[in-house]
Amino acid sequence: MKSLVPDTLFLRLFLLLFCILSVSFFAGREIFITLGLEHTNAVPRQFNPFRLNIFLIRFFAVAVTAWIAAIWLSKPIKHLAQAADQLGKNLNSPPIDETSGPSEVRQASKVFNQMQARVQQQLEERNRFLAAVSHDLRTPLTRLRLRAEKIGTQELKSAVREDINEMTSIIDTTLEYLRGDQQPEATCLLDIVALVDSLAQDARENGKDISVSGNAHPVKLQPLAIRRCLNNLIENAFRYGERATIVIGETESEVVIAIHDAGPGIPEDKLEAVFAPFYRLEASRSRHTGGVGLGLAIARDMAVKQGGNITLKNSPQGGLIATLILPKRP
Amino acid sequence: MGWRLNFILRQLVSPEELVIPLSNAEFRLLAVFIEHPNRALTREYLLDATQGRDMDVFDRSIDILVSRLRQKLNDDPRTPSMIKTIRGEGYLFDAKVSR
Repeated sequence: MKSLVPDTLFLRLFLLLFCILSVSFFAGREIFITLGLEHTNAVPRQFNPFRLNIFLIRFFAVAVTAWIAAIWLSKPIKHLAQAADQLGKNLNSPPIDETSGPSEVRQASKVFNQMQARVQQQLEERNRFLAAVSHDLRTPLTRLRLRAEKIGTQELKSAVREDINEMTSIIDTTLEYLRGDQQPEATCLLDIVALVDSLAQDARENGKDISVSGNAHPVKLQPLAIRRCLNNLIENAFRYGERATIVIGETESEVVIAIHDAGPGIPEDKLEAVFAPFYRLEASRSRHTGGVGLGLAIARDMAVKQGGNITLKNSPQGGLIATLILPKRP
Repeated sequence: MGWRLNFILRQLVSPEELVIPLSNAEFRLLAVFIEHPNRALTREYLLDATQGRDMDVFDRSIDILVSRLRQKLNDDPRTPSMIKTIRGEGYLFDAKVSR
């Protein structure tokens, strides 16, 4: 019996309407007669082609009417089902229209939308928590790294260092994943002075010696890319020297950020070579300060993506100056 | 007002769509303010809520942080409209907060 009942709402409605319309259209008179409500000298009909045509016309009229009515009635539910399917595929699809259809359908749409909002919110909260945890883990890890330097045995020191690096890498990957979940990097107006200042503050919180001076107008670029770029340059400054001094300046067409370190500088003939991926200077290899030689390569990539560049030169006072140049776009 | 705070990227977006990154300390302070809007918060409470262990603990650090945050929020320190100083008590975050 179950298989005889049509599957879609549309078909059910169509059949229902067809039956109702047929009964009233074709057999209405007969019913009245049977109930004794109408007097008639009705003679049993004989086959008549003319009558057949009329019958067919009426049949199709009924069928078409039933069809149209069924579509009209089942449309809201169909839309609701499609929207729910859409939602299943992508949590961030736009909410279902709550204003069309009969009240039951509107109510169902409203409930769906509320559920979508709830799920989105829960996801956002979880991500937020994860991000907070990851950020917070960094500080004790930094302290551990410093303390690990005081370990006596070389073997133990290396082992501990490796573990710390592994943990740091996990955190970095997590944060990058969470950031990636955000919309793909859009270009926006960035307060670059605030960015440099924030990076400096964070470094100071980790006990680093860093100072920032100078000013510049906000620039249109991809914030995360430039953050990564600056981060790498600043990390390099600390890796090869004890101190970082950042000077921000601008011209009509560019913003210039110069990062001075108090390190040994780079031999003149290697000033371009160091940008190559996986290139590491001899000094850094022996210091085991981590890193894989990609810092500068990535930094330059990010800068070029914004239409800018990074140049390196040795300071007359000693140390290296890494200069980030960013164009001011209209 | 129209200021937006991105908890994951730790940056502010001003009503004029200017992106303003925050340091970890500034972000922690602002997060506390946002959790308790329109309430006077003492320096001790703010210090406690924003610092982890092992941090330098002195009152002044909160004042410095507040002044930095004000600057980023474009809140005039002489007549602040968002982070208000409550004499003898601490600070009050005067704003409508929505998620």
